[in-house]
Amino acid sequence: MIGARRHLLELASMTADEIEQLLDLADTFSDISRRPIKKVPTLRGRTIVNLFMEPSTRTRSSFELAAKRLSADTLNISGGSSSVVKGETLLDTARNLAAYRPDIIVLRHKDAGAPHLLSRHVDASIVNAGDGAHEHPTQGLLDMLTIRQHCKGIAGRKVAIIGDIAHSRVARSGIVGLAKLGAEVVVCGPPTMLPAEIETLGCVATSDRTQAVTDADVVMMLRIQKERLKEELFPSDREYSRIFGLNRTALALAKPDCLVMHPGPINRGVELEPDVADGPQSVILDQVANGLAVRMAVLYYCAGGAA
Amino acid sequence: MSGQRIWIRGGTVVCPASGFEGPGVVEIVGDTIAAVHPGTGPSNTPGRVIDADGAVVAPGFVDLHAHLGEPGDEYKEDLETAGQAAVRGGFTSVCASPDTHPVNDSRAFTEYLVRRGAATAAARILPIGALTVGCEGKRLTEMYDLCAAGAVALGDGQRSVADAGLFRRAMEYAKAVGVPVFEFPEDASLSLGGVMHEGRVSTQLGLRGVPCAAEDVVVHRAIELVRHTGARVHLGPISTHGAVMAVKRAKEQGLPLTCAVAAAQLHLLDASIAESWSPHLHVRPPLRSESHREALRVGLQEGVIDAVTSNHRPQGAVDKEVPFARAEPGMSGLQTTLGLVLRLVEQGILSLSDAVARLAVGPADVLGMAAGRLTAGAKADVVVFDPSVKVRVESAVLASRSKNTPFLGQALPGRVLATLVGGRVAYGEDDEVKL
Repeated sequence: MIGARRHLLELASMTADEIEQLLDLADTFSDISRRPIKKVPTLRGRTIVNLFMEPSTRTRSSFELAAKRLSADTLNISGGSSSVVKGETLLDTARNLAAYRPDIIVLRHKDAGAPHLLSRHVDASIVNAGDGAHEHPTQGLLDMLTIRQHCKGIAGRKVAIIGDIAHSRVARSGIVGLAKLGAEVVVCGPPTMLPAEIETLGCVATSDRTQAVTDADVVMMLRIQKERLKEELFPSDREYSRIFGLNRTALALAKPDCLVMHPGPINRGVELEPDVADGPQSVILDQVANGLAVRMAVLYYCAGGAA
Repeated sequence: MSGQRIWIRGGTVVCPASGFEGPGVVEIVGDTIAAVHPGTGPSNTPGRVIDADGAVVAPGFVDLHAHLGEPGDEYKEDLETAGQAAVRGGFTSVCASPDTHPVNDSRAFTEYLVRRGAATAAARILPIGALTVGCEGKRLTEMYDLCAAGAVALGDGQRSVADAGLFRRAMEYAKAVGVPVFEFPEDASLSLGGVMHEGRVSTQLGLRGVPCAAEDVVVHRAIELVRHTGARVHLGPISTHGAVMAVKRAKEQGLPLTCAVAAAQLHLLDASIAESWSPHLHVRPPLRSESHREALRVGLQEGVIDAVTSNHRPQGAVDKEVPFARAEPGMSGLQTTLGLVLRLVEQGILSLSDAVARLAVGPADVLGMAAGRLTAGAKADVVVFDPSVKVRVESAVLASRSKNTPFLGQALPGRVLATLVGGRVAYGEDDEVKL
């Protein structure tokens, strides 16, 4: 059976139709969270393992809540508390968990391709909750859902993604997903953070913030973590925020109703000025709410439901 | 000359060094080639006959870059299993990379390798001594001692000496010792954390790339230091268009520079990683894109590249059953090299004679050794193979302790029928193959 399951590994290999169907499904699931009783029996009796080998607060809680609202049984395992610290390999951990016969394993891992590896060796549907700098497909979907809700569609919209593109899985899923749905994607950051041939993913690349933001429908800011970088990619937070950060002056170049997005957690004052993060154009909390709906849709889809 | 007499009859003798290519008989006495007779040779001769009807009789292959596991990584490979893999792949001499655990940086260690090799390996084991102590790039090794014990070249395995000043002194010193310096062309600060070719595919997969510049910078530095010191330097394995161009120019200028390419590099591309995420494709140097592969093929055709190597670096299953970036780089290569080179012959990229040259006399000349030749008086290191038979690469046929190769399941041309090392049948008629 291995390999025959329905997985969500990446947006890169999905078609525009498949993505749209998942977004439609997420729209219907978002209603559930607005009801007084926020639970449906859809996945009753199903088992979902949340295997988070890398620290995560919002993605993990979002997946957990999504599973619970669908009435699935959940098992949460995180890197720091598991036998990984005792030297167990990812595959051994996953095979042990698979012995419980879960329907879905949601995996967050620091290595690109880890979910693909699991999908070939473990008999469960694998959902990628972020693999290294490769993809974060549910983040990409929730970003697209948010844009679709606010901008009345994605095709033809100009979306600027600004930050450390090279090390960002959010950027990769965003670029490929948005490009498939016809958006005009511009990525922006210091040249040290723009990876080789990034434009082949379906975007325009620039180090000029003005070019990126001008007439944008959406500006998506990425988290900058200087302390986590292996090498020197920019001189200081101070210079970064001045040249690449989003403040009110820079945002004024965008369309008047331009959305401000951020995958969180925000470094206030580095990539995003507080007044912009909390301003009227910010849809950051909508992203969080949509994350829940998207993850319900993805779990439902991977458990065999029709998209 | 005394000892057993062997006649290898009925085959097509291909010896690029002497220019002999055609029907012929190789006459061996003891551990030495007595003569190569054109045509059917003398008849009714006493001695043992190896029937090479329809096959190619070539000088035994010489491998410049192989990691043999012993000591330290015996769960991946040891000299015995590597030796078996070598002779099954047509190699009669295999250089042993010094970056074992511990590193081969002393006379005692080299003597141990020579002794162990002679006792357990079916092929000749040629130790490469470390250029710097511990391959750490800080202090010079006792090079005279290493070479007196049997080291055929000096290098730091898959490390380049970062300190250009020290590298210069090492080259000067090695020149006096009389052996080539092996330089692995990868600048560690530029390749930092990289696991595949930097380009479109690494960007798509979010894997950290090794830019071509990491290789080209080291190649250009080596060339200028060769110009300055006059020392013999061998670069390998190389993987970039820039390296081929730079070596070509340096050779035109008469500099004593050589280079080798890994057989798999002549076929596989970085794009395959996006299809499978297979950790078997995680190798050093990394698989690169189409234009680099094309440059390597042309370089091989033109003789800019002297040798094809197995770049044998077997890894255990535990080293490969992990996400791509975490996998130990390297593949088992001794038994697929001939097939991959013959595939180039099938594709019209290399002549059969050039294919044999890059596997035998080419690498032998890099080392300044008399091997790789079928001429009277040469050591009787001979391989007999049938290029028209395809062999499926399967775990069961791989003698290496590690079966990690991306070619598993593929049929490669070239069946090795017999391999003779010093006149002794190291692989062949007494094994599963009947001649």
